[in-house]
Amino acid sequence: MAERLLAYADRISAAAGERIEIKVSAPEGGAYQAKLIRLICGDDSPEGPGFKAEDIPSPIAKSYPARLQPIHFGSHVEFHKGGPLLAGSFTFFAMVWPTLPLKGAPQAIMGNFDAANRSGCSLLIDASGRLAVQLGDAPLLHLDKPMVERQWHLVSLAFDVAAGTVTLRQRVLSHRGPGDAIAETTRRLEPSDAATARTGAGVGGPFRIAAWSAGELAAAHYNGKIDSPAVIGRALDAETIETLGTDAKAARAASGVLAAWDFSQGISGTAVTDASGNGHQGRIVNLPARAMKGWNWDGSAYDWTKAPEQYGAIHFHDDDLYDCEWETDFAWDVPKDLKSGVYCVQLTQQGRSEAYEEFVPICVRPGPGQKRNKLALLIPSASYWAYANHQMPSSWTFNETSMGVFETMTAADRYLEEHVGFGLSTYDNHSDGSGVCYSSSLRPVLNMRPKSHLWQFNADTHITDWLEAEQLDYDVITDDDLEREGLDILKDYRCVITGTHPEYYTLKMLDAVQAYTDLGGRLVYLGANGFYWRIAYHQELPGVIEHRRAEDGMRGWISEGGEYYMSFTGELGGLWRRMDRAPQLLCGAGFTAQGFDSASSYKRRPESFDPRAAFIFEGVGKDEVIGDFGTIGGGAAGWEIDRADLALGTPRHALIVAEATEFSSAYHWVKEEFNHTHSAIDGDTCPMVRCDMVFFETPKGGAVFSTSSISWAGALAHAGYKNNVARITANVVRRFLDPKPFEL
Amino acid sequence: MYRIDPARADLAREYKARPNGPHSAELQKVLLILRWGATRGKSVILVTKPDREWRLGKFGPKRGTPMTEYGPTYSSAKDASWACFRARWLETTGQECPVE
Ligand SMILES: [Fe+2]
Repeated sequence: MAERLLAYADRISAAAGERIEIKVSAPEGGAYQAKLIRLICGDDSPEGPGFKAEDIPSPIAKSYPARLQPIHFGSHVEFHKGGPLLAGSFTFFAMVWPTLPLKGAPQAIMGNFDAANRSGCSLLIDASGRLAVQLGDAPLLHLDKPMVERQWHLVSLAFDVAAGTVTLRQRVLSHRGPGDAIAETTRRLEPSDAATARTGAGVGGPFRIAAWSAGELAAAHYNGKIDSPAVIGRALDAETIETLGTDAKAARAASGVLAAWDFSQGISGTAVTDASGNGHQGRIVNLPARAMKGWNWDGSAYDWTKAPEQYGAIHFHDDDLYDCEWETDFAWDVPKDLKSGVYCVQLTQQGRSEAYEEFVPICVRPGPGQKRNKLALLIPSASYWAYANHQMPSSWTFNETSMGVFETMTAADRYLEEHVGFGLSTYDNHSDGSGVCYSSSLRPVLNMRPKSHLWQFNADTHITDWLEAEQLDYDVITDDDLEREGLDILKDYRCVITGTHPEYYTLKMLDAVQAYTDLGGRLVYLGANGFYWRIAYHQELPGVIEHRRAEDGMRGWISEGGEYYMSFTGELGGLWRRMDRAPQLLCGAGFTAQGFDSASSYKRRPESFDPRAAFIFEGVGKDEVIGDFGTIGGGAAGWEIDRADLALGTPRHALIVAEATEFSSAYHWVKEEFNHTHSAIDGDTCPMVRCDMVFFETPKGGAVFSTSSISWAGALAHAGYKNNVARITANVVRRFLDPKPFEL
Repeated sequence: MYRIDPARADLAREYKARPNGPHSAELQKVLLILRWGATRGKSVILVTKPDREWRLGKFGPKRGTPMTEYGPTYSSAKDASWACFRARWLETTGQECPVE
């Protein structure tokens, strides 16, 4: 399997004058080289404008010693003081909802077993999907009955020193037969003293939930939910386990309780609370999913903030990853006078038989007090994170029928398929099939770089390429900045241009862009399917977003009923249009259809001859076809497309100045708009499959222009930037930069 | 349910001539059937040299296992699509595609 040079920065955006840290893992020993470039265009495809970058002299441009840096993935709970000490008799119990019992490898539920020296004791699911106990180096003791995927079980392990026995027990809560709901087995330990000693104080590793130890590291990660795990310092009988296991309050106060964790406390954070009063506080590692329905969820509450006691489960995954925590190879002190732009640290290594290359994008925004341009490009970094390292080819069973093409795997797609551990995107399913609701930037992101698939980051460099060709001075700011600073980061710009696909927005970000337009700012929406999903950034941890694919929409996966509210903030996840904030309110157009076989072109509509719109079409003929060219599907209207709709909030005075209506049957109408399934949903049969170019004025002299197409930017460079797509874009941006107010 | 008639050379020829469409209504049905469901286990297209060379391949049994490549290399995305169409025809109908 091919290897790669891998790298990431501690963040995507830095102000001039700040320091940003670069972390690198090299596939071969020796050295690698770094240099700094200002990126103009990352599209190196034969049809595109070509890779264009400016070398920037920098002290970071030199050779560095190469080393491999590991990624420790898989989520679990660890404890500050090593967790409860196991000495003498004890009992573990928990409610568990296993999602991948037949993984074929051990999955630890709780305990202190350390695989490095094979000591300690953990309750686990064995390789064949049965509840088992690993006790020192003794052979596994397991139940005969397998666990049932996606069903709640009360599981327990009682270790009785006096009797010299260990007892495993499970009860399936919603047993459907045949056979008994309960499975139980007891084994006499022989020799009992030796086995006992192995579990005693000072033996085994630190206590963990959802993993065990392999020396310093966690291993044997569990897939599924765990709710209300507890450790009692005596051997309990079945009846007591039933009583305490189904009554968390009783468990916390049980005689001899060592720890009784309550995952419903502190759902938005990383702390794990021991409710027994014994102080075995812990923390989650690698962001397992919180705000998950517990074993006692009864459907009476969908919002975890209203009934946290029914959300006492954490869903762990063996492929969760938050922060690679790589060591920093070098830091770049962004010069105070560096002009704002999209920069990349370019890394190369000449291996024994292969030349490796990687890029780490860094958006440099103006520093405090630095002069700003009047024009800003708002890089949709939140949407980059949503897509980061996506593995749709393996996650989506509907990818080809949706896209209308056979799966085509790039080298990066293939690398991610062949190497687990790089973390997934909000488009993916975990290895257990559950949806991925967190995505982080603190890892190598293989699809956010120049010379990659023309989607999101690399497609957005068609815009920077055109801005340079048009000699427009611009600043670059990102969603991550917008989330931190809100309206403040926008308000001094006369005109803001979006990326090609600004799909994911938090409330703060959306409010800021809305306020910007309400206060007279000018917004150029050069994309489609924007402002579509509501997401949240973590309130404490840097570089990670949450998304719940609730209720409806074009979804990679579907949130479980009752799990629509985001753990980071308690906000409802899902479509902005279902929260009275359809994208049409902000930009006049919102997502209506997508297809990926070919793109279309626009025709002017009568509104384009309104004197209000004259500036847009200056130099464009009355009957001229607009954008029947381009590198994205061969047209300027395509991939994902938006539609104006008065019912969804397109302003009454908006002008739909042009439209594209000719789309193939590979284009599909968005599913949140039809009540019943039927066949008239494609470009051949559905009139909702169209693309509306929209212009309208806003209060206080502002205006909004929307191309409503992801393909648009791919047409800008056609014929040496002399084409009607570039012309219209320039007409709009130049007028929007003119301080003369628009009349409403 | 529509079933692909493995002898329908006309539909295969139509795809070969225009893999990016537009496709006739009947070819659309054929393509939906060839593309239904997970791609793990089916032939897919691998980009072996960006914008220059393609090959057919298959996923391993699960994530984290190597993909396999097989057959000749192709010098255009169009040729690779046609090869993938033929492979899927065989995988779906159990019979060789009647068009070379
Ligand atoms: Fe999207």
